[in-house]
Amino acid sequence: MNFIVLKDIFKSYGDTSVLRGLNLEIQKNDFTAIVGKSGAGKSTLMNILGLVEYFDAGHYYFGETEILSGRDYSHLRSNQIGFVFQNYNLISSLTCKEYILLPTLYSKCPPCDVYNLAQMLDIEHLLSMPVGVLSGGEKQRIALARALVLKPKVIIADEPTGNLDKDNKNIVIRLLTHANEDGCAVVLITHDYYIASNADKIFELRDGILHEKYL
Amino acid sequence: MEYYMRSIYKTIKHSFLMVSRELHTYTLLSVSIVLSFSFLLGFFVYFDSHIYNKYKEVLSLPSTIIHVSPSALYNQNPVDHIKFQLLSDRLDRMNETNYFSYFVSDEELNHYSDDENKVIVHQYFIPGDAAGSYLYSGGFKQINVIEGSDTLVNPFEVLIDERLFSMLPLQQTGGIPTVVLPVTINGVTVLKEFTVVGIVSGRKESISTSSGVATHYCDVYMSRDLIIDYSCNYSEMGICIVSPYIVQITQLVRSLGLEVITTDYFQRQAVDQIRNQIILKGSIVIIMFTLLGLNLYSSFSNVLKERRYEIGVKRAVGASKKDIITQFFFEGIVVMGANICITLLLVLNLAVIYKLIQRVFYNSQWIININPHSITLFAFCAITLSLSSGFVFAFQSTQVEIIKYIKAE
Ligand SMILES: Nc1ncnc2c1ncn2[C@@H]1O[C@H](COP(=O)(O)OP(=O)(O)OP(=O)(O)O)[C@@H](O)[C@H]1O
Ligand SMILES: [Mg+2]
Repeated sequence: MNFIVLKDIFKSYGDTSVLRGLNLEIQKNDFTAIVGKSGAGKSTLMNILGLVEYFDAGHYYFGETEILSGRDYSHLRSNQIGFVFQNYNLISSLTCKEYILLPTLYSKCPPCDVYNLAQMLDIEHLLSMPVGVLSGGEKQRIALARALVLKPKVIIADEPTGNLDKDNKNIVIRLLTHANEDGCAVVLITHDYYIASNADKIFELRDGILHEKYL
Repeated sequence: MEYYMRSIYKTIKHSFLMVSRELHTYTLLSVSIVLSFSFLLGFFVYFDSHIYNKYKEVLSLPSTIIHVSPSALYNQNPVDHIKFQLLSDRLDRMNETNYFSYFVSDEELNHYSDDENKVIVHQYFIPGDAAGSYLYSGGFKQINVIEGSDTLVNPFEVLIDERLFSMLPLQQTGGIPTVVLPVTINGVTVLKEFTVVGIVSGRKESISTSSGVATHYCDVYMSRDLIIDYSCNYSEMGICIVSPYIVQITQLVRSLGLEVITTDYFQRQAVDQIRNQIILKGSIVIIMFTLLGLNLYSSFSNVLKERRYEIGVKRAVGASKKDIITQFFFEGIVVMGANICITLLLVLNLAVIYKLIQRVFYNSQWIININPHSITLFAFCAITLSLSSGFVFAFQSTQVEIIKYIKAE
């Protein structure tokens, strides 16, 4: 049973067409990696998948729901999707803990244990700090913790390891595989083939469509 | 339902948190709210207090007092005595009606003067038991005994006002104060010694200074018997009436060709003037309300510009439009509420300072007054503006496109 289906998705910004008839199917416990050149449209695809951006044409089924342009899907974003943004999207006036718990304000789902999660990501000493002062790698892990806090059904991670050292990359990969084993679909963007090698399927985004890659 | 309540509670808590964290974005807005509301409230307090202080004396008079005087002053027409007699006869037959006649002395005699001070004594000739009543002399005033006896038992006893009393050289009296006053009997002015039996509160404007000489105006209440039994001279006479039948008596007095003046008339006049001023106040309030509304609208829009990224992120991690609306609605209310409290404190303190300035520098008793109208009007302005700013703020917050602002950062 496919959990997420993208069919013939088109998206362009003015004259630049970014996605041109893209197809993608993701099952409930898939671990999918997407690679591609800078500017290929990976983040655009993620934003569409994460329901924060509309597409121009095509069909998108999220679970039972067909996603239509102009509708608000905040209930899906809050209850089912954990989105790690490429640029973190932190709110600098909040502390780390407040930021990590932000999605719980908007969802009925019970949160997981923040301290546990923070410990696994090695950020428990940062919890009471303001988000604004952190280093890039710390910010990235805070953003990841925020995406994981409600145990979402799908994790959409846009380069979650871009700013991390080897140890931390491994921690993140372990967490994502862990979540995946618990039945959570993971879609991951990376430039790093070592990270991609953890995935069940690898796609390359090229010329606005996905090409499956075999390592 | 329970979940719903809990989520509202969480959002309100979050609103407080965000206000405290985003305080810097609210500074300018707060200054403008406090200034505008202070202006409005300050205007109310000043306006109401002004009216109150201006009319408090007139409005505190009993409304049943009628004063009758001859049609032409300084013209002792014997006909006036007959008219007074006719009026007295009619008044005797009316229920719940009391009256007495009194006289005012010929001239404002120089009781005492030197290079620096001049004392002018105004002499009233009243029945022995008239203390507590109201006379008319430029305005209604009460013979208000503050110390001593309030009855004049014989013609050589007097009541004097505080100012004159304070100027008496007491050692000359040997215990019982006396005062030497001029009385004009059959055209001849003689000085006579009178026993002071009581002190009455003095006039408000009792000193005037011109070219280095301070003139003290004092009142002395003497026995009417001096006029009746000793035929002293006088210049004015009048009848003071206390009666609920104001209309009938007024008509009667006019039909006799006498002048009539009533406290009721003054009070109606005051009420009329107050009403006119309330209309003025109302129009000023409407203008200020509109200006304030526009000001708040643009201020809140400005705050929102700085918060668009935050809204975008919150929406992206799952906040619905309703969540954002609730958050910003309560933020609006919290900010407005806090600033209105600051305004109240500020205006109250300013009013007290103004009162003290009046007391210390102008020696006048300025009473702070704000009437229920103004309180209602201010509360109305505060509540509607808070709610509407909250709504506008909340509504504008939903206009934010998620993707535009989370990409922008
Ligand atoms: N709002 C926008 N308006 C105009 N062009 C846009 C907009 N957003 C993205 N683009 C363009 O779309 C293309 C794809 O952008 P996207 O961010 O998806 O790339 P990407 O694959 O994520 O690149 P990277 O690996 O550098 O993150 C780029 O050429 C970008 O300039
Ligand atoms: Mg990208």
